[in-house]
Amino acid sequence: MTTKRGPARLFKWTSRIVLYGAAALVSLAFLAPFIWVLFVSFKSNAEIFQVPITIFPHHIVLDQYDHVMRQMSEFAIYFLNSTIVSVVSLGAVLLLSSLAGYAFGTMAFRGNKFMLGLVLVVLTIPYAVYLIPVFILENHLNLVDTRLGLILPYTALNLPLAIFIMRGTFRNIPHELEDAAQIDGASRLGTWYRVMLPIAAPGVAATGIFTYVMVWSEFMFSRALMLSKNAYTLPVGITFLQSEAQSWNFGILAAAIVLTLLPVLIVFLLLQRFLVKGIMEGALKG
Amino acid sequence: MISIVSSATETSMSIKPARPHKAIRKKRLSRQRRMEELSAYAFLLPALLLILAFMIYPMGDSFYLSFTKYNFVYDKAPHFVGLQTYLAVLQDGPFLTALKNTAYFAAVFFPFLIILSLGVALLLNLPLRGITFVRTSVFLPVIVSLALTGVIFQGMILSGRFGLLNHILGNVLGLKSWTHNWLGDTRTAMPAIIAISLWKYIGFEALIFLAGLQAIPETLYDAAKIDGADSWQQLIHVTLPNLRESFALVGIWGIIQSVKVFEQPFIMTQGGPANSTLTLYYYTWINAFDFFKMGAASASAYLIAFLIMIFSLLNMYLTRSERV
Amino acid sequence: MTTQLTRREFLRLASIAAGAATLAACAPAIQPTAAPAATTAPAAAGAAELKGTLRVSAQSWIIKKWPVEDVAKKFEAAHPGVTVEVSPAPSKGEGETYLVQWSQGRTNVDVALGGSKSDVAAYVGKDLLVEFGPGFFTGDFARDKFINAFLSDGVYAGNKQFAVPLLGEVMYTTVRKDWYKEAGLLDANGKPIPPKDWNEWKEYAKKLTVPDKRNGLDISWGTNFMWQQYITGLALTKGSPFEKEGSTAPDFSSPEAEALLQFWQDIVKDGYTPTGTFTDQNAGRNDFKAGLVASLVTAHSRWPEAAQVVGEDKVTAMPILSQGRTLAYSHLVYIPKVSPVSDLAKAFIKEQIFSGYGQQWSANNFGKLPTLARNYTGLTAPEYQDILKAAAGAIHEPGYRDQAQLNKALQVELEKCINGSQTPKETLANLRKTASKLDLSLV
Repeated sequence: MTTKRGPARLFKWTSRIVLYGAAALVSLAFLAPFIWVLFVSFKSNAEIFQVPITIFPHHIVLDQYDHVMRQMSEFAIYFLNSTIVSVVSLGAVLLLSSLAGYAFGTMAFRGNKFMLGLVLVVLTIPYAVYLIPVFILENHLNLVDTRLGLILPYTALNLPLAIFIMRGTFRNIPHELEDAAQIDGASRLGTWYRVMLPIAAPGVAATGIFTYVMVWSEFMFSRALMLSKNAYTLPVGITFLQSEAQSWNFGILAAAIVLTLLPVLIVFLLLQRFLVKGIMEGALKG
Repeated sequence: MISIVSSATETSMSIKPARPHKAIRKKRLSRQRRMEELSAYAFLLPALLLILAFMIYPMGDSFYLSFTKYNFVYDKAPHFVGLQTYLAVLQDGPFLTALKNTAYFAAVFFPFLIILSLGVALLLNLPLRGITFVRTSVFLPVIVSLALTGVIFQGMILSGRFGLLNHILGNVLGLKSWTHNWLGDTRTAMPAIIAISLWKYIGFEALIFLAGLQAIPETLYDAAKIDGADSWQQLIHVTLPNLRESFALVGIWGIIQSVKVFEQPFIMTQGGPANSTLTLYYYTWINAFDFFKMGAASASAYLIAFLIMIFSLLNMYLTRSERV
Repeated sequence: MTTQLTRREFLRLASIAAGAATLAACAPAIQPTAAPAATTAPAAAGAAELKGTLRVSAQSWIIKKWPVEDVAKKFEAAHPGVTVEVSPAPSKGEGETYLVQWSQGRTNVDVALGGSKSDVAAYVGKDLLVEFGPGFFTGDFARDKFINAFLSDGVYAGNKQFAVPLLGEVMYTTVRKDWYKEAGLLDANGKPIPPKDWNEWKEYAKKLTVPDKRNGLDISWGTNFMWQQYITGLALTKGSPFEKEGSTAPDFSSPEAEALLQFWQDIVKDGYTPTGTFTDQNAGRNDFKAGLVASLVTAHSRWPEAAQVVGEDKVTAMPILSQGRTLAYSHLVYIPKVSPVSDLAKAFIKEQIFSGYGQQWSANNFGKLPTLARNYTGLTAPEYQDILKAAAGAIHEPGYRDQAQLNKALQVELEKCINGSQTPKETLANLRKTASKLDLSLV
């Protein structure tokens, strides 16, 4: 991150101060909503409804957290659902797209152009189109209101983009490596797995980030296809809490938000270096 | 979408069935070719099956529905009416409002997204101390779902009386006259939604730009400096032209997010006040799940698809590479 | 730092994914059940025989305002063979969640809680609900044991009862007593005097408004209330929301309709009334609690809720106008025909939905009205007598076939009118045009 770039050397002291100021301001703009939610979560209901409002909580109140932990166990379920759905969809997308991308990128077969064209077309259609027929299909298959009922469409919806990124990645790998492996007698699957996949890692990482951002945040399918507590995901669950709590206790809403953000935040901070590098390398080489 | 892949991954527009060197292999035994074909199909099968079941089939289904009149509650079966559904949607007042609003959103959101993301990326690319922290904070909104973003902003930040924004404007900065019921006014509701969307997406886009910036060889800047270019000229003549691939990727994402505006109005404004935040996606949802007019919903979804396709092609054209 | 995924890492990732997939597939959420033939047998046989799983869904706002979790446990305790599962559901005005699934012959819900007459109309229109026949209304649950104003909300065309009331509401005004006193708007007994007509309301609003500090009057104009506000306004001034005697079409042409819209436009223009509820349904009640508005026209139940925050002695309730009929409506309970345990569902309704425990808890904490007469014992606040009287003479929501589309158009046109971008006359003309294209026959 701190490699010296050409234009940077030209900046003088004054401009450095301006730049540090800009950096601080940008940072604050993006962080402020999080900090504010944290503050609200520590305020009593009376303080929240105080006019004019206060920025820092006068008295730290932990009742909201207590309430959420003891009486809103469903949030743990939503969290679990979101995690399972995201992780499984992510895994499935990575596996299937790297298989298909390998075939599209390196193999000769009839129908290649046609199939690729098909994947291209579905890529441009907004997914609102699929929603109603998918509902009816899943209802016949007993998948409505099950996690699998989200995992399957999430995987399918994210596959086209993923396949394209992976196809590009595999095409850019020098074919000599692959040929050498095949001369050594490795099977296609073996070559894909032992030789090609490790080299394609940046593409895999980029695909993973794109997919994760879509899946973790997805709202429309989840809202339409999941009908009960045991299957709701977080984005939908939070809207229920909004209508449940906003009319009587903002603090509880804030505390629930903090608690659901915390695990994601920790995972993100731990994996940050890897994730960021992944996107950057993927966006370039992918 | 097409351009993502082609320009970002291989800088080529055409879909090549296979690499040229495969041609040489034609000499080999056809049995080996058959084997290769079979294994290719095996590699493709699982992905294609899923796409077929959850995308192609529903697409066909709703394509048919888009030519029918079908009220899910009161009609026994879809009734084929041909292009009438499309004509009815195109003449529906709320659809035109939604089209106008979506165009407004895109026209403001898209350029701001590109410029601000690029600006943030340029900032993040500087050798400042603590810049990693800035990068983390900029990227943080990306891990928050859009629904949650809406809940946070509607209730706690933009709310007229209990919101942080009005408090800061009125009581901290002393700009009482600037305070406003942001989401409740037809003039400011959409700009507010645009601002929130920018907050959510800039981090992701900035990172893609940052990747592009870091890939520009130092030697290009050195050469420019020898020619006497100042930093502004370096930006125009070296940095921007070398970011084409990043622009393609950022552009396509921006287009999709510009058209796919749903959660923000759904959660924060219900399309109001007075339809000023009704978007195309939301219009489709309302037709399908509030009115149960399945024919009209499918038709409007295909109209959105048509729009996305046009803009994707345009993006592809603008960011095309010289190498073909 | 190397960022390439090693083969081992990828392998681990893949195996985690595969494992999780198996896990997810093996432990799906509640299994939906295929449709059995709809049962029409009389409900609640011997209590001891009840068995099975009852899936209850409640609109998310209900979860904290009626003790649904408690009640579920009570039902389980009374019937050892029964399990109750409670789930939140989307709130009013967000589409009818179960319509698609139920019409395909499956359900994940056996009893659904929440929705007013017009919300439930779509289910009735598609013939998806179990009828509560004469066999249901016997003994302690005979029709005359109910508050008729609320029970009749579940009756649809052909005089069939497809839903029963969980809790009742009456359109009313919540009032800041101390500020009414300052403005001289209390009578000798310390009760607020309701205004005679819209003009007097304007004077009230003016007297109660303190510029830059508080608004005199707030009206809930959110998507959850616009339709109710509109027909309440008509009922108060002309006694009915319909076009003319004998018709069931909504009135978008009378002088009373125009006067109502003019009143709404004026109070906003003059700065007495904020429009925050357009996009934030809770803006009005939250502002009231924060002491930013002096009167709030919406469901009566905001009054006890606000009293908890502002203070019992400072908050009371009064009719919207001194004369005329207001609107009463119920939060309904209904059972899908495709539920395999509709008898269990009916037993749950009789034993728990109609129990004094739940209805009184909700009344005491959140002011929602019990729907059975016997559950009023113990509700001592004097306001309840007036509110019940208002309910008895109140009008009810009609439920139209294209209600959702009417609501949407109404919301948009009335918001435009209220914020002054079109005149009441234009607004009504637009509404007449929209209404002419809709199917407004009753469900």
